[in-house]
Amino acid sequence: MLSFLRRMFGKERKEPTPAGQVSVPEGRDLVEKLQQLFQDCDDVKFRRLRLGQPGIPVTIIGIEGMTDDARIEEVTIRPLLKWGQEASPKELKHWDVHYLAERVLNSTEVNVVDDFEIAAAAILGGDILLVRDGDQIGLQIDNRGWESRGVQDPVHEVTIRGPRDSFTENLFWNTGLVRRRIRDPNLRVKLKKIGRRSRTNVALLYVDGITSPELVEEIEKRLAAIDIDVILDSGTIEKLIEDQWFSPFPQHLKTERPDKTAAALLEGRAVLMADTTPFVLIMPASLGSFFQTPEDTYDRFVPVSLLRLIRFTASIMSTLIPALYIAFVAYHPAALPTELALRVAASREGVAFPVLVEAILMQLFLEMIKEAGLRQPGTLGQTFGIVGGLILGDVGIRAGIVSEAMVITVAVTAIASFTSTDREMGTVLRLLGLPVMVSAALLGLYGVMMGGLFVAIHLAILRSYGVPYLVPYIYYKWSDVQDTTIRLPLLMFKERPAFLGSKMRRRQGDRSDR
Amino acid sequence: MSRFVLFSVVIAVALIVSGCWDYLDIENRAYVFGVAVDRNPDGEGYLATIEIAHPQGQPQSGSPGGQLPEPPKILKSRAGTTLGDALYHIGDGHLSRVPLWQEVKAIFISDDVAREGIGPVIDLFFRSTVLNLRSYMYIVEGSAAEPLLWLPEFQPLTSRYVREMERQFAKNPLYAKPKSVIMTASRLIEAGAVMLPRLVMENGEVRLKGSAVIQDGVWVGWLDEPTTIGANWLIGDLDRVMAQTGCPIDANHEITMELNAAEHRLDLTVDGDRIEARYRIGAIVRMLDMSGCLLNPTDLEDRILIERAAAEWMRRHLELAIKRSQEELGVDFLGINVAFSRRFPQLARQIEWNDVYPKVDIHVETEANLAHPGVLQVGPIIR
Repeated sequence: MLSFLRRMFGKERKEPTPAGQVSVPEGRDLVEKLQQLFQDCDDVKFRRLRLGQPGIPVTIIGIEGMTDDARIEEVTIRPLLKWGQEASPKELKHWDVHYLAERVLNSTEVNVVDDFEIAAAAILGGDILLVRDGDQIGLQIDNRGWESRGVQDPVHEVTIRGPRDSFTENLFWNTGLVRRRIRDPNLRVKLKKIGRRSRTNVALLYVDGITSPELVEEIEKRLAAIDIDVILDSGTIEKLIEDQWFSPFPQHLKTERPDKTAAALLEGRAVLMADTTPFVLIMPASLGSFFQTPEDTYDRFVPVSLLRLIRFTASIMSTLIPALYIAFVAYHPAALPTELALRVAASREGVAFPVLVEAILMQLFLEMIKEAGLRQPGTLGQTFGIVGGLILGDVGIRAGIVSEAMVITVAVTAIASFTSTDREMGTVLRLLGLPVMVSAALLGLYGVMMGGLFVAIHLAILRSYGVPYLVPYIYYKWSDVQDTTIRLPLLMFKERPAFLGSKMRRRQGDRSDR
Repeated sequence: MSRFVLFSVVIAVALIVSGCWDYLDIENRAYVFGVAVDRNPDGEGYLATIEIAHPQGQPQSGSPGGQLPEPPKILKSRAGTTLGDALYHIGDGHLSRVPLWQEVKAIFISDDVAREGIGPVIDLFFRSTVLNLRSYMYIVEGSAAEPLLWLPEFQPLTSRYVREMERQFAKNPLYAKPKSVIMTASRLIEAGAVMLPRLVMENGEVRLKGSAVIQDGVWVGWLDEPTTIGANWLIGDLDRVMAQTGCPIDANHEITMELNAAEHRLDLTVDGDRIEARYRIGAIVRMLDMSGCLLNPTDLEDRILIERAAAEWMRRHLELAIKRSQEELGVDFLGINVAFSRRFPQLARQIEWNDVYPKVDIHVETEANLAHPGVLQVGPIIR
């Protein structure tokens, strides 16, 4: 019981040794130590060779599935055996790993490793280690060869116009996709390993001279402060480095599109990529940036501005519509147009529940249908949509569980929330409607206003890397309004957003003017 | 801790200053659209009748025409010593839902009540926080509750039907311009008299026909339709009217015109004890029908004949209103006193207008201008 309470209130005793820290085992040489370290790890292979006539024993250590066997043979085993046959006895007697690295092995990247921890990390990272028996040092040979998904169409950020490639789970392919778009030596890619056990490669990308150095410094500081055993996705990093963990609003933009990433970098933002995840983080984020799509850049500014206005309005509606419905139906029916009020009253006749319960039930149905459809294979997912939308809606009305007006309200809410370009933002706005609904049920329109005000206050104090979340709607500069709820023509985009603190504000020369 | 206290205070204040006890689902409310006020036939006081909409009895899109699944309206009556007593207790014991008064569209007042005064109705609406001050007032010849029993076409609620007819007023003002409780009260305070639409039951149907003149809150007389047209024009409420008059060259045929109000001017002069009011009323004429009348509107002489006929029609109607106002009722429902007190404020304070008004010298000059002879520019091509 006491231990449970300790766990609950954080009084648990700390682990004596941090997870992931390798304690050096006993052993005669590096090979023996590694054997002890990887005991019971049957996927770790120790390939023994004997070189030349004296039969000098060497061991190649690698992990099955993370290394490329054909490549091991080509760049390591074959050159070693050939050298063993051709080398003079003197050479065979006095060689060292430096000699092998420089003169024998064909691999592009070979490093001498004299630290046990680095050796273990190299093996776990997919490289192979070549060690002569009895030595405490070895050679780390680049040999990563795991299977990876190729570059495919983006799944979540589909556009009609624009490039069709998207990030993959391979970090260096992803950085390459960005480099293809920004062929500028000032594009910096800083690699870090995060996760005590996962040792995940994380890359921080920014354009030197454009991105604010303070921003880069702050991100590096936050990354350095991460102390966790595993990073499985960029989402884990996101939760560990965001400004306010308790906020329901996402404080990083997420994308799987290289073009959006490149555009963000050239605006003066920084990008964080993690190995094994196709979603990269763009920072800092502002509320307005969640309603923009890469397509906005490629299409004409008038329809783009109108569509952005629709997205923005719809997102606000997704929070407020159910609450407004409750407030009007339960408190202020006289404020409704007469015809509508009579229709709503007629549709509410015979409904078993008060309007608040009805609204919560319908929201619950909606979330259930969405969740069930999302986690199932495509065809089954569509079935859930039909079952939920048609059958539950229709039968729900007939059974007196919900009214027609409420079905329409919730349907509009759902559609409105899906207009947000960021899935997480859409979900947050829709679910925020629940507390606002309760507030509306308690206090009517006053409650809607109070609920809306709480959300607005929270948004006003929210920061992403020190940048106010509501820029440029508040703390704005006129030049920053060019790409917000509306989008001005590209020719007018002379400067980068001021709130990103870029040292090089100018982004377009006057030559573009005709 | 202080944050928690602050949050608690905010929530407590929010709950106290608002009305979560006002929560009532829409289906538990009775939508009151019309209120009828009659004298209590069984004694002193009033008999109030309300018209409540039955939500499921309203015409729905997609439902077969005219087939209503439920009765569209419910009427509830109650007598009370005061109108407030009758209205506020109207649902007691026989209405399961809570009346929603903000939707009241029309107040029907019987001429019996109006003869004693519409002041109690206005007073009740002004003092109440729930009654709708934008409700329109109608004076009913006979029982005020009777029109509520009628089922109009298209719109089964009499109150909404009558309110929708407001749109017709702009085209052919055969009745006084409908006025809300606020407008009626302000007109009575400012001018002392007001014209309200008169509502009659003809052949079992509701009809807006002419107007009732209310002076100092009390009914003083009816105006027929031609007089009402003239009065509306003199007051300035008229935008356009359909005029039918004889063909200037052939008494056997008539022509129909649309007269659009143009110039409207009232000049007041005082010469000793003599007060003179001179109206200049102008109209633009759109010819609608002149079949059988062999005039050519593009011909200058024919055109003058048509314009004279229109001006004469106007003058005739305007003089009817003046005669009714000045000679028959002796009530200035035309609002000349308002213009007079603005033009001569000091003099207006010294005289008793009701005594002076019958002696005011009122002249009317009318002018019509035929601007739209129609697509067919000449006279009839076929006899």
